[in-house]
Amino acid sequence: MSSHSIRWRLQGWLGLLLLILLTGFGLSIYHLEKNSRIHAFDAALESRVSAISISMRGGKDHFNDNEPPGRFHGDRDFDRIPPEFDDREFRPRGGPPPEEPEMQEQEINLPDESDGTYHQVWRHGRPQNSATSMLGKIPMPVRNTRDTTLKVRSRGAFREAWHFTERGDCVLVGRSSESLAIALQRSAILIFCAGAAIFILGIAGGTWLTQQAIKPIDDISEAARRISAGNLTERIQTEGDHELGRLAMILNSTFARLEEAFNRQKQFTADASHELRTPITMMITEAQATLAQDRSPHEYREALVGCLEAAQQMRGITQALLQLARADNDDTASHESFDMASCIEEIASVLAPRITAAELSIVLDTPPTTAMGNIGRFSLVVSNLLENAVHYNKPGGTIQVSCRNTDNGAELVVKDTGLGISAEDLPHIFERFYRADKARSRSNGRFGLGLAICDGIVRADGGTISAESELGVGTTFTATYPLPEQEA
Amino acid sequence: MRLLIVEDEPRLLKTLEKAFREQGYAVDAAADGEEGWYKASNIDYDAIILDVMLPAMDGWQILSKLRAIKSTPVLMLTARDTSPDRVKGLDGGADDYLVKPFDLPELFARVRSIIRRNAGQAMPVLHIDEICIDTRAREVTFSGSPVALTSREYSILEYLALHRGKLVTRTEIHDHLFDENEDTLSNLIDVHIFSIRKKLRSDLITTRRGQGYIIEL
Repeated sequence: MSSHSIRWRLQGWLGLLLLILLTGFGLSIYHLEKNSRIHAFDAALESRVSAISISMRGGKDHFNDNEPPGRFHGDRDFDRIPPEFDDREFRPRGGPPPEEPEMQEQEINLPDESDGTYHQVWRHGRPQNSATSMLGKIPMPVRNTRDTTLKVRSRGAFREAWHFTERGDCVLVGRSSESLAIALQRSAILIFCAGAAIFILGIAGGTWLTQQAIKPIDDISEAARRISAGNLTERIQTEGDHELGRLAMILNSTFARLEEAFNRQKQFTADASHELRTPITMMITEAQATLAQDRSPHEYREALVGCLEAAQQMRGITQALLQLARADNDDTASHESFDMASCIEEIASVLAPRITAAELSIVLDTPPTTAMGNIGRFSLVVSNLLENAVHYNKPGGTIQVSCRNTDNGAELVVKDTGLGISAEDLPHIFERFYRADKARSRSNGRFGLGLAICDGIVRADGGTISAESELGVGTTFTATYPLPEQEA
Repeated sequence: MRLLIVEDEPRLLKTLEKAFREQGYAVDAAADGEEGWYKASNIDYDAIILDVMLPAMDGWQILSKLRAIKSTPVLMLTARDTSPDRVKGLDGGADDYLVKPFDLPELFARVRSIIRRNAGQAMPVLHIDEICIDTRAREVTFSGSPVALTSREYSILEYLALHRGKLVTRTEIHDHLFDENEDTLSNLIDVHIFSIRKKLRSDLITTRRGQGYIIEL
């Protein structure tokens, strides 16, 4: 399903974005953490270097002032500040710390077992203690000029801080960076776990969000599927005034119009087939009844006449249907300015014999009237309306046909003094196959299509057609055509 | 058998009328709903062929009014062929339903069938001992050999056979075998009965004096 692919794509993008952000964030945090840990590690080493070199110079007080106890983790282990340290470690070995450098060295040289810290002192370039034999030979740092600042270096798995005293002695304190690595690894795992948790939460939240966002689309596609399965009465359940709600509303109105058009088409097809069934039945019945036994030439003639009548009726219906279909679909018909008056007069003269035969009189009021449209189709409208007026008129009645230009357009008015149309029928008379008077049989060639054709044609030319009627008095049809451009 | 055909298309009505006459039916015709209703309610027909779309009163109205007073078999003729239309027709009391355009032989067969069923006979061939009446071909055989009956004689025999065991009055025979346009003397029926007895068996049709005729069970 397409909605799924959108969902998965959204999910994918969200996941990717989240991954990039989390990776960047996690790496930054790891980097910061690493820096601060190394810094702390180094600071501890450096402070010890300072302590050693101060003690080498005998500046115990100075050291005390500068480095408050407890400032660095591990100070107690190797500094001489804590009293117990003093008592246990230094006193028994060297007694009160005098100024003799040798004595100090001895004291300082103690390897610190608790955290793996070691130190090395070089005097005049020679190592003074070998307590770090298990660590291998510690290379002496190279001195640049007369630099006495504290330096830090990494040597294999060890981190070492060193400095040269003014006298040229070198003090180095080192410590295995293993604990640092372990701590960093733990931090990395922690950051990774936190990142993974955030990632999972983010994906879960994203899934929920996309689901919420996709749900209306799913509803729409589900409704569309049901509609495409043939159920045109289906509608999308809409809620809310959000974008998808509006989309659903638009789709719903489209579906409604589709359904209406479809139903109209279905009705039209049913009506058309219904109208055609009667003459077909007549032909089949006539032929079968006649062929059932031998007949006289007269009977055969009768049967043929019957079949011919039925065929002519079918021709009339199919022609009317064709006109209707053309009015519906023919947008290519020429569109030009024409004179209504001459067209009306011509058709009136063609229909004159029928009008006289029906004992009717016709009154024409046709000043030159220009309109915009297709003259061929307009004449069809006129003849349909006139035939209608003749058909539904009362003997001795009149038909008034007039045309004129008004502000709204060119008007054709056909007025009869016939039976009239009842109020409940009036709204339906332009519908296909609608016959107001169902008592009137089809035999006169009325199929209920004439007015529908007029309506279709006038609309196709951009005009309108309307009817007013009073029962027993007569009906007035008014067709309004657009005016030519230059006169509009 | 007497039929009423109600159909508003004059040409079709005429053709159907003629075709059914040629089938040996007495046929009355009505061109609109009111006339159809008048005839259907006043005359006992063996079957009514009723168009649905009719001026003045449509087929459904006639059917529902008729069903209130009579159970005459009705076959509806219509151009509406959707299933709801058929259901409406059959549920409305129609015995059968035929969609235009139809085949004439099918219409004949359906009319025969509703008449037969109305008389309580299921099969199209009626047997009275060794006499066999085939209502499809309108043929009578006696011990296997065909008997030449006139159309009238056949109609009378068929009517009596369909209503076997039931007393049929002369008026009834007259009403069912002659349409409104025929003005026959009722003693003509006696002549036909005599002829049937002669061609088949003398004791086939019993005369109940002053009442009518019966084919005993």
